[in-house]
Amino acid sequence: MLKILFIMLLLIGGYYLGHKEMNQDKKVKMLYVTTSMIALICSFSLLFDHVISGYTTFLYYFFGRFTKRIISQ
Amino acid sequence: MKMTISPRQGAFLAGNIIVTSSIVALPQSLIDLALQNTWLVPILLSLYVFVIIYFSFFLAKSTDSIKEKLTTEQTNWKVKILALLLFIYIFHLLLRDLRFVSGFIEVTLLPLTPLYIITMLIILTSLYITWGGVEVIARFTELYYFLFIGVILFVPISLISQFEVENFEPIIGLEMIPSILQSTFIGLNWVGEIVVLFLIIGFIEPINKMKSSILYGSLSGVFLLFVIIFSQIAVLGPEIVRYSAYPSYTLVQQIRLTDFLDRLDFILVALYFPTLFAKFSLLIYGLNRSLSLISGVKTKFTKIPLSIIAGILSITLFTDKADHFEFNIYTWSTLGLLFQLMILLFMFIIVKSKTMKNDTINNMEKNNQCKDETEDSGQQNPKDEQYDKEQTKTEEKQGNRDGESQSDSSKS
Repeated sequence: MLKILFIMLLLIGGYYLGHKEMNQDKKVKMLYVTTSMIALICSFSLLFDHVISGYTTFLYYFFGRFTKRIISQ
Repeated sequence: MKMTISPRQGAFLAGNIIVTSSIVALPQSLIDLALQNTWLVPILLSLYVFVIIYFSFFLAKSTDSIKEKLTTEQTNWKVKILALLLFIYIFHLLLRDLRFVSGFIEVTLLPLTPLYIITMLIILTSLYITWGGVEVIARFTELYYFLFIGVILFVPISLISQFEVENFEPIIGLEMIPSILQSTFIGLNWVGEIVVLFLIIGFIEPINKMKSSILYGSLSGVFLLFVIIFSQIAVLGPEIVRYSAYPSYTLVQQIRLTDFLDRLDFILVALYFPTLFAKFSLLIYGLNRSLSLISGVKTKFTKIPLSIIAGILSITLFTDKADHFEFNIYTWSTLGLLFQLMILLFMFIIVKSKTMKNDTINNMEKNNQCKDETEDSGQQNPKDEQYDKEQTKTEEKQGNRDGESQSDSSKS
């Protein structure tokens, strides 16, 4: 849980650094908040092992096997 | 403030992006396939570098058009698709390299430190470098890549007494050609990483030296890769290298200069790491720039969440080192190559459309210029003369009619 807390602190620190620019331009604020939310959601995967590693396995079944066929392994 | 980087800095960025991670991660996989003839592979890889650079820019008559296209903030759908492809490509590249470096540190340097701490430290350092913008990254790379060249050239010189020519035998035979080509296929996407530089070529001043600087820089990177592979085969032999996790580190550990300098590898690794940070900072900058091209919002603050996402996913996407090795060597060889080809294709389309547009504008300007010249010289087009004659005739007729109508009215 400390890992997620550290990430949250980093994101809040980033917001504090750029709050002037973000208050002037709403688009910047929206973009920062959206990317921060994605970062926060991703950070919860640190608590659970093997949650999103299926993505690399999926890629391996398509592209990794193709490479292995090319290099004759 | 207008940000610019010199052609030399552009060259160093190109060399740095090719060689830094490949010098540790790649030789083992290449030597596993091509054994003692792997030193030929970088020569074939340099051909791919030529293809990438010339295919991307050969249609561009003037490099100013590319600069105009890639530095403008008002983007069309072609540039947005190119930016999206670059975003996905750079994101995967960052994930792969982050996990590779944190794994390398965990195994060789800091075995008791958690992977999360190592990754976060790498991210924060790279973020600090990239915060200053592309100029700072270029200056940082210029400084440390120069030292890095010295470090790499120092390795074979200091190990020359341990070179064994027998390790290169049996030398090239026809039966080895397939294995050399297979090995080259694995290496293609590693040298093709220079496509990331498409995002920053607009900042190179003077722009007319851009193509040559990227080419020379990339070739310097491939040459350094050749030096390391050659030294590994000569000193360690292909059989040891193919079963070693980090053969470049093993090679550096072989250096024995004096009795008291028994851990020279730490010094060399310390000089190597800044080049990795330079690469990460360039990748984070590339991520942010491509996001700003897609969204149309220009800000540097999104670098923080983007790099954090990359850091977290680099830990969670790969369950163990074997999983990462499969992605690094097998999956990414095809997937990365596919991305590069798509990026090249879109770059080709953008440059071509811009060149065609420029050609039509030039033709229109030429036509206008010719017209002005003919008017100035007093010569007229035969068509224009005919038109003038017809015009005077109608005017005369009109005049006659008016005269007739006036005489009629006076009579009445």
